[in-house]
Amino acid sequence: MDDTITPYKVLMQVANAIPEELRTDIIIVGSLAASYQLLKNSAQAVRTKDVDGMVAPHARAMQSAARVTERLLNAGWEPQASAHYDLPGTAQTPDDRLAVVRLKPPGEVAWFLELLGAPPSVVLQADGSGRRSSRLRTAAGHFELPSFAYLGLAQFEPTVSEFGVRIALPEMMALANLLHHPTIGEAVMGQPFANRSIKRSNKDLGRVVALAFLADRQNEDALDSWKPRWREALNQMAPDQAEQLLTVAPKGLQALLESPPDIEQALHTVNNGLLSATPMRADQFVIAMRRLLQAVL
Amino acid sequence: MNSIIEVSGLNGQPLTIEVIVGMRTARDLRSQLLDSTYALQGNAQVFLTLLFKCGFTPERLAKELAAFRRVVRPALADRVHVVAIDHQQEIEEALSSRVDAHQLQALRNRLLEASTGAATASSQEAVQYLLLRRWLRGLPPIRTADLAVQSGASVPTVLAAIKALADKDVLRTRDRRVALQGFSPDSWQRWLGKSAESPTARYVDRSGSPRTPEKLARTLATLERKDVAIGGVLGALHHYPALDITGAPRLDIVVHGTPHADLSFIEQLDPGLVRDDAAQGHAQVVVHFANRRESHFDIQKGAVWADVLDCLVHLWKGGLTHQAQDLMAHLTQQANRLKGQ
Repeated sequence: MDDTITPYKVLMQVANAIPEELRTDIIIVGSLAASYQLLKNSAQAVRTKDVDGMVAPHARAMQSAARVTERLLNAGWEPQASAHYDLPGTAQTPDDRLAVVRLKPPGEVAWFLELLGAPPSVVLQADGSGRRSSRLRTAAGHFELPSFAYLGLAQFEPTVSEFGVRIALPEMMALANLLHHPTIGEAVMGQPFANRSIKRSNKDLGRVVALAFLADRQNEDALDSWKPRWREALNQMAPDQAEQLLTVAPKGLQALLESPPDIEQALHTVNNGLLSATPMRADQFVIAMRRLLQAVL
Repeated sequence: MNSIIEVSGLNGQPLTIEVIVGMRTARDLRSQLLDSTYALQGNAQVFLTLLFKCGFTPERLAKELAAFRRVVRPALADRVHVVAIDHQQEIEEALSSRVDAHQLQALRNRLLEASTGAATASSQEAVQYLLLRRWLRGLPPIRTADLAVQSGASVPTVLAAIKALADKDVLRTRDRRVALQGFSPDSWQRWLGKSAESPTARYVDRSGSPRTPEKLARTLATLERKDVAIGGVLGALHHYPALDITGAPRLDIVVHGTPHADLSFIEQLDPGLVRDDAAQGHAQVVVHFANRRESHFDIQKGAVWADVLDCLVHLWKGGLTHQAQDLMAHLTQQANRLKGQ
């Protein structure tokens, strides 16, 4: 099955389906955001199934997410069922059986919209965890609204699209991924990625390299502004830890650079994802990594 | 660059080694033998001349040396040695009976560096470069001996360089000083043609999204290297903003040193650059070498610019003939204006 989608078409479809006053509460993150920001002039399709929308700000995330969910369900969007979760969830459904909001537009097979919540803070909790979970109560049932600490950085000056929904900046998505993976972790993704078992960190760090590669190709000075922008965002959103987080940020990439097998995995993910239309060679991938490290170290 | 190296030889006897590249005539050889002999008067040194890329057969060299020994006192002649070097291993053969084994490797490297770089430093083009530079600045005539010191060339090379210039271009004073009083288009072309033969290191892009020369130049400035200058089109535009060109096709840089200089800083310019001297296609960065005593770099507001004459050679070498001629005309006009003042 061809699972490529075009950012413009999807964004228009998402925006048209939700009330106008809620559109700016949605920040698109992930592949679609990256392709909107960095491939928009090439009308290039991107290979992804999930369109991730973060509902922000945190203070009204539950309320906005409930309204968006209800509106989409009323418009015929279909929730994605899974044996692991109860659909529809009720007040009696245990938290660990709640399904996340994952909705497919009517007649669409290529992609679904998944809702995330803006975290209360971009700093990890005391136990080192960055994931939080909230029960989302809607007229159509109960769902889970997860949030991820570092992904909250996507709230920093997102671009307002012509469709009203906002789009995360590439450098902020890159920072979130880098902070999430200061080392090459051994955890493997739940599902095979293009027929291969892949470490989660390789997929996310590969995404960072692809973002840097595309940003650099769009504007050769782009990477020079990443670190100053990271500092600005961290000073605003995590002032007490800004410098420490800035120091940690490149470490995962430095580890990746030292590990050819992990580079190979990361390259596999970008060439079967964000860069599926114009795959990179391994030497180009390494050069892109080095250029980014040179810019942010 | 100085092509004379002084070391402590076997048993502590001082040894002077002079590297000469491209010697062709018996007259130059005899002059060198005489200079060496003068240098040994009143001391216990040994003088060894190493001839790289010389034009003498072994028989001819032996004959000249034998003739020299017949007319010079043995106490001096026995301390003067001349060896022609055709292969690198001959350097060690020439040195092994004269210096300790532990010195060999380092000395061999120094001599190799001197031999590679000296071709430019002591060439006639380098002498003419200095004369051109003085002319462009309206500087007064200079003694040939001073030219030899400044260029690192021997006096015979300096004289030959001056002789190679068109008579009408050279001003000679009664006190044996020389200067240029003009430089015809033919003279420019001859000088450029010869200067453009100097060695370069070429770098190509492997990233698929090459940096612009301007970006590379900005990055170079952040490295704060005073021994690396921007040349080529960007350098020429710095010296002559009216140059008829809209953008640089590549970054030309000049390293103050020999072709053996450490070029690892190129990785810092852009990790996408890979050295490929044989590249037939487009090079993103071309490194030239200013192998002379003074770099003549122009440092302004943190940016280091190559001498305008170097930039001119880069334009010529890069096939930007129209722009090179444009710059030549500008420089000639500028020199003539200074002369008229």
